[in-house]
Amino acid sequence: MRSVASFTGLCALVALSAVIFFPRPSEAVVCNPPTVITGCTMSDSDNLVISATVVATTPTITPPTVTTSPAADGITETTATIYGTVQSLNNDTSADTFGFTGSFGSPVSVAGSTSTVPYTFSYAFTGLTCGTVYTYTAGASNSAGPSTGTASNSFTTTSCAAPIPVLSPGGGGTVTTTTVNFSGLAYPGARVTILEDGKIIVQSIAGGDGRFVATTAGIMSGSYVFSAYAEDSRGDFSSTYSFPFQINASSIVNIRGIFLSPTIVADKLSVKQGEDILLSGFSAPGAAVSIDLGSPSGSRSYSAVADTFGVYRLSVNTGLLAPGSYVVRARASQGGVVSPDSKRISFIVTYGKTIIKKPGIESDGTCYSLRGDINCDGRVNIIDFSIMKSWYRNRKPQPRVDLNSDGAVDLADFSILSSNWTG
Amino acid sequence: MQNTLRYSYIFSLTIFVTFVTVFFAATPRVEAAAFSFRTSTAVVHQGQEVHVDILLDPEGETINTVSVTGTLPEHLVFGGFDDSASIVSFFVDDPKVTSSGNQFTFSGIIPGGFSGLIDPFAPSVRKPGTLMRLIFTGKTPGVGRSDLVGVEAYLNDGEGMRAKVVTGSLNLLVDGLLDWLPIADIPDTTPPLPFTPVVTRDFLLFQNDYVLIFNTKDKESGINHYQVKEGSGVWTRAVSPYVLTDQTLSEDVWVKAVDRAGNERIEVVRARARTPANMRTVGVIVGVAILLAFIIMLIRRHRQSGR
Repeated sequence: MRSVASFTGLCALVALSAVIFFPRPSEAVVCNPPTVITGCTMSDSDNLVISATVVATTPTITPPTVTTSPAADGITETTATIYGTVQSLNNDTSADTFGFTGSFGSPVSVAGSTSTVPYTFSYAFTGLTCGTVYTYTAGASNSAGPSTGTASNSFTTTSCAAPIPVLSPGGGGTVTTTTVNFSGLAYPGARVTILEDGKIIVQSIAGGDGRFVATTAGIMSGSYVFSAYAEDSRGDFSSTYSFPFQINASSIVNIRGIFLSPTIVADKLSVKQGEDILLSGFSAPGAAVSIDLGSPSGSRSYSAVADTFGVYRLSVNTGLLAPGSYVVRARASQGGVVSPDSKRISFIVTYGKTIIKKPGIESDGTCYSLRGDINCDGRVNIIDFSIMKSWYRNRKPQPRVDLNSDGAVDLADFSILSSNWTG
Repeated sequence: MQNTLRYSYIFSLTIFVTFVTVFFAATPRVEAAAFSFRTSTAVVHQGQEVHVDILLDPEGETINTVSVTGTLPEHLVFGGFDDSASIVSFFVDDPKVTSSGNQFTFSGIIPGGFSGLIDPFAPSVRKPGTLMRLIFTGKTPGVGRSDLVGVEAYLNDGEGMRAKVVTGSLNLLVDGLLDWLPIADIPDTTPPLPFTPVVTRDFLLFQNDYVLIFNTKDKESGINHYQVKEGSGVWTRAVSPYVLTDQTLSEDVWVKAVDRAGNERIEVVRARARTPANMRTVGVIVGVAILLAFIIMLIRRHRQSGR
């Protein structure tokens, strides 16, 4: 009897322990693997078999469920902030050791801990590469280990529109003036011109791959506005890209990564609605060229790819374009780097007849090819500036000088001239 | 003694307020092309020279044309303009003091546009660029205030669109002190930068007369003036475009750029046509030939008559 009592007491003790240490599943909050406690099985002299088995079942604890949301923000050329959110603790009481893995390099961790969900954590990157697509996965750990992080996301840093200047020191005191090296991407055979404060200082012919290098030496210390543009084999110009520099004496400045804009021309000045208009130009071989047609009623985007000679062509059927004036501009991208916008050109969709573009001088004396080329010599430079200056504030200007046709020669006309400057 | 302390306290407070005004209020912080003043000192003594820079911060835009009109501060004497560090390449309105005498103005273009000055040692930061330096001298005690009352900036968008602008102001305190050290300028011994004058003509420019066009910069003290000499003529002060006296282009034309320190750079445009000179040469040759022929003929006749 004592043994029965002892057995009963033992079983009660086990059951009590089970109650204390292993609460009901609905109350279970611990995150250990399921536990089975076998109590005791005993027979006494009455052949009474009493089995007491306590089975405490707790939910399966798995690594937290983490999503890569919300989307990344604060994206610049070199920075971005990415986010992860713990959606579920998966039966554990807390999660910690947050972090991200991805194409940015070594995994990064985020300190913290949470016992509530959803819980969002973030990491702010610096020193990223411009114009690059980064993929990433967020993760977190609990007692079951780290989440495997299958849900991934991505962001793209801002394109590298600006050249990346790199400076190396002068030659041990032997360099008394500064040398500036320019390099970048234009089009095969393009003539690349470098300007210093609007004055041509060096020209270079791009190679078959569109790459160019140019060097100017003997630059004195001071503030300079350097700029570059390309002229393709048809004589059309890219937009002018400027990079103002504070030059210090006895140094070598390398300005790399200049990506000049495409050239662009239309084969018609005016096109009858429903007919095709051909937009074409030059860019780097293999570059993707994005072409935007803008009008007061909205804009449309098209794309083309430059061939191995750098030529791209886009034939646009004007059947879907409402009659009116259209402004066209193009930009190229290659290797994640995006060029500045091209010069803007325009054409008109009309119910009337198509007018083919002809090079030369219009009836009012303005030049077709280059806006701001007042004397029609194929350049926009100090001569055109001087002519415009002599008509400045004139109330009855010649059409050639009044570039925006507003009936006056004012600073807006000088601005148009300046943006088309070739030196 | 208390009055002295009170004066000292008020004076110090004035300096502090002025300093804050110059270095903070003068630099607007909004998303628009910002025109502001910068000076190395907030307090100027009587007779002391002070340099005030007018800055352009494009704030992410690319600006290619600017126009600035500002008021000249009281209590200071305006000493002149210095465009040696200016990002403006060609002036539409040359820097000048208006006829009223209390304003300054200038306008000009920056071909290709200005998007902020890059320091190669810190390329990620774009700095404001200097449009013009104004030189003043402290005159009478008081606070001299200058405002930019007319400012325009145009985007480098090919359409001549105007940019939004904000402007700052300048407050310079001229105190009653007379002891000061002159600004230790490094002597400028470098001539203006090389340039290429051009002779051209167009029916839209001076009735199609031949004109001489020139422009250069001096990065240390700035250009003071230009002079032109045609052939064996005399040096004459000139501005571009300059209508040539000799429309036959038969003589070399010399252009001299002089900086504010007196350094000179002389460039030449060679004569295109030598017609008059050539004609003179041909005339001399023909004349000599006729004279020789005449002499030979006389000698022969003399010999014939002698036989």
